[in-house]
Amino acid sequence: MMKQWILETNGEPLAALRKFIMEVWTRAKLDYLLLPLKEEGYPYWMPRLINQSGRLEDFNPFAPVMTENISRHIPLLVDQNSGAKIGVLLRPCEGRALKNMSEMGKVKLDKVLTMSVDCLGTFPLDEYEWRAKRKGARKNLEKEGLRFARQGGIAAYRYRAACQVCESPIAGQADISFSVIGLPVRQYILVNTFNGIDEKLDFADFTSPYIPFALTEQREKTDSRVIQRQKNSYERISNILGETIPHTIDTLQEFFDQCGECQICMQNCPICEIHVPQKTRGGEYDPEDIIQWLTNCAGCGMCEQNCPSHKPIPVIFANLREQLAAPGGYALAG
Amino acid sequence: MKTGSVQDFPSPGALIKRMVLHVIGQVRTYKQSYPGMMHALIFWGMTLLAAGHLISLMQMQLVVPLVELPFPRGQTYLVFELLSDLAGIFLLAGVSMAAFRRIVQRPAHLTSTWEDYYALIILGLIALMGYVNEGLRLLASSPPWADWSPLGSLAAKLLAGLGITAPTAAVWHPVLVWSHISIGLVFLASIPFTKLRHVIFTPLYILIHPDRKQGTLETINNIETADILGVGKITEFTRSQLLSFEACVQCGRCECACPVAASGIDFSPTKFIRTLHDEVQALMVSANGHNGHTGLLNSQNPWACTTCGICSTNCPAFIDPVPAIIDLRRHQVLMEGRMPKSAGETLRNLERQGNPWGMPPQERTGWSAGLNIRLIQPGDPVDVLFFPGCSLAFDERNKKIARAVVQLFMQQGIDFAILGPQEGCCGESARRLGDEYSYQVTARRNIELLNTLSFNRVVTSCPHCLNTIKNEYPQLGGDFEAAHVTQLLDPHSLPIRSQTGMPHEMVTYHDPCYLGRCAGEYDAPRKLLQAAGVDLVELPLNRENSFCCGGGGGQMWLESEGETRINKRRLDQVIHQGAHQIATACPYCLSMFEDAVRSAGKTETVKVMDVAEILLAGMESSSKPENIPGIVIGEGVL
Repeated sequence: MMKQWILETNGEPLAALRKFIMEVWTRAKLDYLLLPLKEEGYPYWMPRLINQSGRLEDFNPFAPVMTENISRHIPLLVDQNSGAKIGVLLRPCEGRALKNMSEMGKVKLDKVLTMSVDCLGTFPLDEYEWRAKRKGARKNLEKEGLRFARQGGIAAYRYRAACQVCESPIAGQADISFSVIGLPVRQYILVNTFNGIDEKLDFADFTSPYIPFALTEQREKTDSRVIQRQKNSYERISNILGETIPHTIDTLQEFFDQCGECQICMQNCPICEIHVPQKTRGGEYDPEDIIQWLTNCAGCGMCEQNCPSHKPIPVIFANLREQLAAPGGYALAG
Repeated sequence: MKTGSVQDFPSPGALIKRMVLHVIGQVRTYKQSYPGMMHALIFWGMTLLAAGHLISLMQMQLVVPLVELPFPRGQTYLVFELLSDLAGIFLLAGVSMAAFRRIVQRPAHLTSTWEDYYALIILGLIALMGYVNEGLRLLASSPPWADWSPLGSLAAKLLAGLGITAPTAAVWHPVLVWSHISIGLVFLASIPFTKLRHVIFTPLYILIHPDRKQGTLETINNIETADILGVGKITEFTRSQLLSFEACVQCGRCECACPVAASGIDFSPTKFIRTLHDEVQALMVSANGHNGHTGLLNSQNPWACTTCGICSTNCPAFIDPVPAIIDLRRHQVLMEGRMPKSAGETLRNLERQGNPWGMPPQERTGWSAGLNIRLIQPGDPVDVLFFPGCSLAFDERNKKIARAVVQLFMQQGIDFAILGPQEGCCGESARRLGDEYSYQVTARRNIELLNTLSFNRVVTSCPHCLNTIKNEYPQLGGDFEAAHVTQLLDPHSLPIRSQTGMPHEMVTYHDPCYLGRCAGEYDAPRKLLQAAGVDLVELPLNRENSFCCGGGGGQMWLESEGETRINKRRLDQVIHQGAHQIATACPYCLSMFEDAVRSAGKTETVKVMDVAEILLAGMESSSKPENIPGIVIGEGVL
């Protein structure tokens, strides 16, 4: 059951969010928190496991860059730290990946507190690097997405193809999710809690319940517009790619055959973290494995980002998923 | 919602001017003589008849107990009779001309619907019945002044010829009067539901339309807090835009001048406005809470327009489709991420490299090699800041223009400097492609930079940069005096061109849209060319009627199909006129023409040059005629 709380930001949405997460940290008695952090000397935000809430000072979950799908680290992390209470902060695609991983049966999430934020899109790595290098541009770059949260982001054509076609950049699939899309974030962020986590952590002590008012309508409108935008982008990009990409499982096999054996896509994929597609004796991937892979794909696009030839795997998979779901499509595995 | 946004209201002086020139004078309708005449006959006929009937109405018993109009009596009445009679002729003549045009002439840009025929039938019927009435009245009473109503007398004679006697006429006259009144009332009642609505909406829009400079777009002022950027639904247009869609009568003057429509592309400003009008109508007749989204808006392609502005220059109602088209682009780009592929690449280049070509920014000053041009520094004042713009800085062919301009400046002793590597794109392409956000970021950066420097004016060779700096930067707080190179150069101080140096060729000057219609500069480049001694031939579509080269509005960066290329049409016009050389004053026009010349295989017969290059060639021809920069197309790079 979902409950909604309001987080007043007083003109400083990031600072308010940090403070809120620190409060959650203390109350949930977390041992560790897994989140993207800025490291000295690195241009990017890298996934880091921290053990003191002080490090939260310089974190920004809305930074428009994604180096890895954080959820990929969770199975090992939970294994190695049995008994520890771990919090994770996820983008929507990471949240979806984690849910699918757990449904595939290999990750236990009972000791994991999941938090999720609305995603305002991320740039390709080289693009981000170039933008961040410009004098004085970095601060603006990091805040840009959040500044346009109210409209659902700005000029989305600049983002990674995977972000442009992402089926839902709206937070969910977590114990606590923070909504910013369609909201005046300089005043409010909306906090959604699931499964009674708000009662466990006594949210009523430090925040106030959200009483629906004009915000809801504005937010719902923006959400549906954003989702429509994503659909349009998907159609546009898949039209552009047209016949250059495989449209059946068979041609997908040929596609993998042609692209060599590097498997870098799989090394960066959270779903493959649970089960890497295996090759049968014929030298092709087991069709069931491929179907399991693409039906569980969360669309994070880390495969495309890391692929040496930037193959548009997320769009290919989305396209195939559509066909699998269509009547008369391939039978789903399992 | 933008629907309620307040528009700048015109000053009383402007209102009077608009009233006299455009509401009553309707001067723009006469640009096309036949329809202009036709409309004037109908307008003046109806206006006189309406006034006459109002005066007659004041004599009736309905109003006499309250007020009595002691007018017209005696001699005045006879003039009144004559005028009313003539007004009827005007109306009938106008309606006949219109019917002939619609049924027989059928110009391609004119689409006819039932509304058009309805309007003609009811107007014709009213006039004819009026004459029958007048005939019956004269027949019944045979007054001594009957000659003052010549058409009425003619009608009386015809009726008498049909065997109608005075007593019969006296019986039938009231019946006909009431029928005439009934039809008149039907006419009045149908105004809001048919094209006749233009008698209300068009004058209203002419009077209150926003006083925007041609080619200047509205800024999204609160880009960070606005809920909606651009227009995705009909209700998101401003009030005045909505009114403009209702003010359109589909006369087709925009379509027959539109370079896009003329080139066979499936786009027409008339149909575009018609679609928006239909959407407004659909919204008005639907129940409250209707979301105003019939999908009509999304069926329109906003990516074909070159923003040349000839549509609004020709529109008698001052309707401007360009801002509406850019509004649709803005929504698609900023909110939906829906745009032609090449537009996305251009915008990315613009952001990443600071120029739409995507060239490395450090190569920006490559064109100036060996010219020893001064770089402007803070605290080092200069008269002219030359802003070559991306096109002159990065396009191999256009670099020659930049060099020519600088050499002319040096020859005329102008104190000038350039920004050098600090110079960034003016943002025009981003803005016209709908990316208002990138435009604002780019423009603000430039304004900030320019504010740290001291110069008297910015001079550009690219009319697109000129329009942006001069007319659009003030919206973001950047007030700079800006001029075009051709406005700065003094024709009198050019050295007399050697008469023997170069073979005389027929040169035609193509007016760039953004220098002509937008900046209003038609004469300066012509004077310079004449001073340089060239034989200037005018194209039929020149000055404010100039036909776009096809490169504006971001089209420079969008893909077009061979058969529908606009530049090809313009080149055909040039060739038809017998010119061997095209002079232009815009790097986009130059690129578009060269492209057209090349694909038409005319490189040997038609040369394309910037005005500055022609001037320089004229100067240099006396000394070294074999080495004229930039005159041969397809020559190797500089």
